[in-house]
Amino acid sequence: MKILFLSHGHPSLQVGGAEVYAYELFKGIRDLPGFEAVFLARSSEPGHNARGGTPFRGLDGRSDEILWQSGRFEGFYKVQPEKDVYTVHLRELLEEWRPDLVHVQHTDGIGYDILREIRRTVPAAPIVYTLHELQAICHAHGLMITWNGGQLCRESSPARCHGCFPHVAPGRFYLRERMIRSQLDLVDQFLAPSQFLLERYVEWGIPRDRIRFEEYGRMPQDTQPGEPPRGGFAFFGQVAPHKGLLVLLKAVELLRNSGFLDFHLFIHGGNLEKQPPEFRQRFDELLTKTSDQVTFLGRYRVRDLARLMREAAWVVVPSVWWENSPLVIQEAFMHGRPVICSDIGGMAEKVTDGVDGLHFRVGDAASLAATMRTAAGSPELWRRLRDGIRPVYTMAETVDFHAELYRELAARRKVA
Amino acid sequence: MLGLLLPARYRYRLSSGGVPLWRSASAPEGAVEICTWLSRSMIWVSGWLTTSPGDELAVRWTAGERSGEASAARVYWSRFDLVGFAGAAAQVLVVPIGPSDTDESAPHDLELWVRPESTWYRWTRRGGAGIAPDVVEHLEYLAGCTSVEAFSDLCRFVVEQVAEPAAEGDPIAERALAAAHRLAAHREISLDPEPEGTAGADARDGSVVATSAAEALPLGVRSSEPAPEPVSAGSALGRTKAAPAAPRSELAPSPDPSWRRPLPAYIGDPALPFGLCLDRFLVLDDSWVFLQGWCVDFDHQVESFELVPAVGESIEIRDHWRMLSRPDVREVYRQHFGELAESVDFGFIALLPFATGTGAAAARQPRFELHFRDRRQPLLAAPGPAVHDPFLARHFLLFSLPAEAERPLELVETILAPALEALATRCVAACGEPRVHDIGVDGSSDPEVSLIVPLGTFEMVEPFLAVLSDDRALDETEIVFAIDEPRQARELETLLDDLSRLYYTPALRIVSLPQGAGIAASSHAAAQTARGELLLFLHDDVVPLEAGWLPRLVAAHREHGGLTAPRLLYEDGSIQSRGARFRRDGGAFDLWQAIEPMKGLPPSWAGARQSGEVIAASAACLMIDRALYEELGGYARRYAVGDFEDYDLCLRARAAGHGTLLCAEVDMVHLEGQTRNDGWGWRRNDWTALYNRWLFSKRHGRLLEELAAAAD
Repeated sequence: MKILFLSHGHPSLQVGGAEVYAYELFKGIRDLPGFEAVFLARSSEPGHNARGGTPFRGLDGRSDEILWQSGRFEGFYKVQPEKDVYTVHLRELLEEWRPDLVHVQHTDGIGYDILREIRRTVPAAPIVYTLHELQAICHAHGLMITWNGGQLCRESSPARCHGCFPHVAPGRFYLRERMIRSQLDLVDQFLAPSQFLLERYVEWGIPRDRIRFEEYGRMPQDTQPGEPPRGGFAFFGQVAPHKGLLVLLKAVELLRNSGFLDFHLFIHGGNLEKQPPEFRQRFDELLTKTSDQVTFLGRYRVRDLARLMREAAWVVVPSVWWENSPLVIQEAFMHGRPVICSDIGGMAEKVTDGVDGLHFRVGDAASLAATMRTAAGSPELWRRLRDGIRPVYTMAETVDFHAELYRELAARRKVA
Repeated sequence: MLGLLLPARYRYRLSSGGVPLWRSASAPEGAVEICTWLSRSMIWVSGWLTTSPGDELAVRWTAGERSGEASAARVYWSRFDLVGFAGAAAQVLVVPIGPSDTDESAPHDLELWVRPESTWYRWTRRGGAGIAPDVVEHLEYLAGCTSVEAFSDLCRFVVEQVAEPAAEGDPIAERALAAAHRLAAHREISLDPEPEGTAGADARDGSVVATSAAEALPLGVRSSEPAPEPVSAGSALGRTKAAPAAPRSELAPSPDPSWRRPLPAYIGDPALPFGLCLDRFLVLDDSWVFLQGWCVDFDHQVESFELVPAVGESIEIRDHWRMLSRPDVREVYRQHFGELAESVDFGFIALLPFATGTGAAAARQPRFELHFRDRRQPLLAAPGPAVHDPFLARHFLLFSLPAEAERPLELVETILAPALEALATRCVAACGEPRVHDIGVDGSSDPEVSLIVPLGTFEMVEPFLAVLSDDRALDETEIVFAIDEPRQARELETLLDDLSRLYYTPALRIVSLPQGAGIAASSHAAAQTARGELLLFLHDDVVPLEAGWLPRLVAAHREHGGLTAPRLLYEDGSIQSRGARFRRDGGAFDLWQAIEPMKGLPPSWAGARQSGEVIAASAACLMIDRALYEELGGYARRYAVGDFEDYDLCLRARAAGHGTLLCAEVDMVHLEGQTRNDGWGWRRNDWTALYNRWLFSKRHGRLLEELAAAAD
């Protein structure tokens, strides 16, 4: 059975959770008996015709991995303006290789209309689409927090979206939704890595019988287990407003003001320089005030994770947006670290309060401070929660799931 | 009178084509504007230069393989647009370059150098000066935008250069000569060697042509001094062989060009009590022209202001004009005249009648004369080239009126309506044959329904097609896109070609009309090419709520006949339209206005789900049998730009016994005005709307009256 994987990036070009996941899944399927697979990854280099006549190129001589420069991208309706990328080049590839099934991992930077090309050129091939984010629903990068006030948004509508983007008329949001929906209608099977994401899309209009929950499967990582310093907390992730760092630093300040000093927070994360100046200023202010308790270490590499985890007993995920299915929680669990997180969305789903971590009220620094104080002061609690961590879903398991799903869809298509 | 030229075309050339080639302080400036053949051995070079009239001008030329150097004969006159360039004057040089054929092998590249003093300067258009076939067209143009004096000099110059015997056997020279004689006769200019009148005699003596210095100077020129003393030189018009050298500074006192910026070209100076500007001159048809401009006469010196046509009687403009406010002009004059400027309307518009058949001819040579109480000679003025294109004329007409005017309806009835009526006939005729481009039409069988979709912009095309292409019920239709921007036609063709390769679409067709034809005319043209038995007029910002909408609409239509429209909803689901009824607005004009009952109410409002007869419905989505559409003569194309044609069609159908059905079983979402960046809207304004409402009321007032009476 021939499976074509479409990804919005290749991990050798850009390191992102979804790219790595898509690539590992591809390799897992490819190595199964009875399967062939090709990994077609977008490369964001401009000018798809840079090579004169083809957007495709190889990667280090690998036989089943193709990079393509997929043209420009229309960011509102999320379509590809250069249709010949599809109707000439991709069509050629599809007709040449004739996949039995196409698994679309992500269409960011490509366009939802790629589904039209797949359906039109290989109509017999079922289409699987993994929903990694909420961009179809929310124009604010799929964050579903209000663009100007940072309030949590529970449901999109033309009027509400117009409230976030006053220069875009409600009618255009209506049409955006209709357009994206008409493209996504072509998908046979959606997968969502969290119940939260799944429910959001069902509310938006994807029929429940066409979407399934499938957790991200993870490759095993080296761990360095051992008793960490009990007052050690760590943050991993982008240094950005919606990641809740200001709430975290404010909580540290509150603890200091109350005279509680027996803890330390390590912040690992990049991209501070890309943030709005108000945020940077506030971040710096709080960092200066709390410098005895906080160390800001900047960007980190995945391979250093085991070492960095050793310094902290707890991983804090204080995001003020929903988080779809945060990989950092899985990583914390793989290293035996209970998670303290906001009580909403994908975070609340993946961390069970009092079992493998602790919840605090989203955006509430006092609530977080109280939770950190409890956590730092009780080694028994830490051990109990660490023992509550279940094994993380593995890549091998998800490869088996996908193989089974592909066979099932192909069989169903044959019957139809 | 020499400053009275308002050569708009020259100003344009200056800013784009005519690139001044010399920029240093000491070097002269200039630009070549036209190069044409005057005869087989002479090139006519027209442009401007900042040389002294006394300077001998030598010209060095290279044309293809050949080159040479010659002393050029020239004639020059002052030009209003050049006041910013000290000493600049329009020039025509005739350069003998020896016998040449002007067929394919003739040189089309030409390099010119001039030597006004002792240095050679390159004097050529950027990119090389190609040589136009002959001078006739240029002479005709100059006839329309130069003063009588300058033009008579030009004609004599041509006659002198192309000596009659030499012209024999040289078709170019013959044409040039004939044109000079014809145009001179047209402007009642004598080409006798000793023309009568002091001006001509003076010119031959090499002294002033103008009767006084004040008239000789361009009126627009403002200097720090009062009007300078008369200079003995033929300061603005003359011929090199006779004109004495005059210091350059005296030719045109260094002006401050900044005052000209807020105003279009005009005669006068905001510090002086008289000023005139002829902004627009529109040929409406063979009997009417439209003039728009402004006039300042604080001192009440103007005795008459006449259009002197080439044929027929003079027309006193002030008998026909209607004064309007011109805030931009007032702003400028307020600086010098204070409150006096507050109480005056400067602007005017006028419909000028001609004997049938002479309007267009007269507009080719527009000459305006202003006679003053204290001045022997009249001032002459000419607007820029007249506008003949009916679409452009209509656009200028609708946008030449101030946003607010007193008694607007009277303005519509007396000026706007007759002018637009005259243009409407020409607009319809000018549409000509539409251009048709088909994508995926196999011609095997005619579709049942043709969707007629007028397009302004193309942003919506992909979403529109994406949503429609999911509905298999549309497979057997055709979509005819109607546009009135031929330049956009190719863009749309490319776009639809691209989209139809990706999306499943029914047969697509693009029908395009000339620019500015408007939504009614282009939709009508599209409808005429449609093959379906039923026509569905559908806007590209109308989205069906669900698949299967078309068969339901067709079924309702087949049962009812006449016209059929669905419910239109806003994107939030509330009702946008369930058809229209009409009532008098009760305001100052008491025109009929459309009311859309239940607009904005919830879709489940009592009675909102009921289908039934309505008086009219919007063309956002409107179905009609093609046969009935043709029987009714199609959309009215008399509304300016396009408006009301849908209601108009419904009412004409009603007068012929066919009703309009509102079919509440079909809902369509209409994203009106939210998705297009103006689209058709950019050519509309309040005057367009008022005129269209006035016309609609005039056409259907009686029927609407009857319907209202029946309803009571």
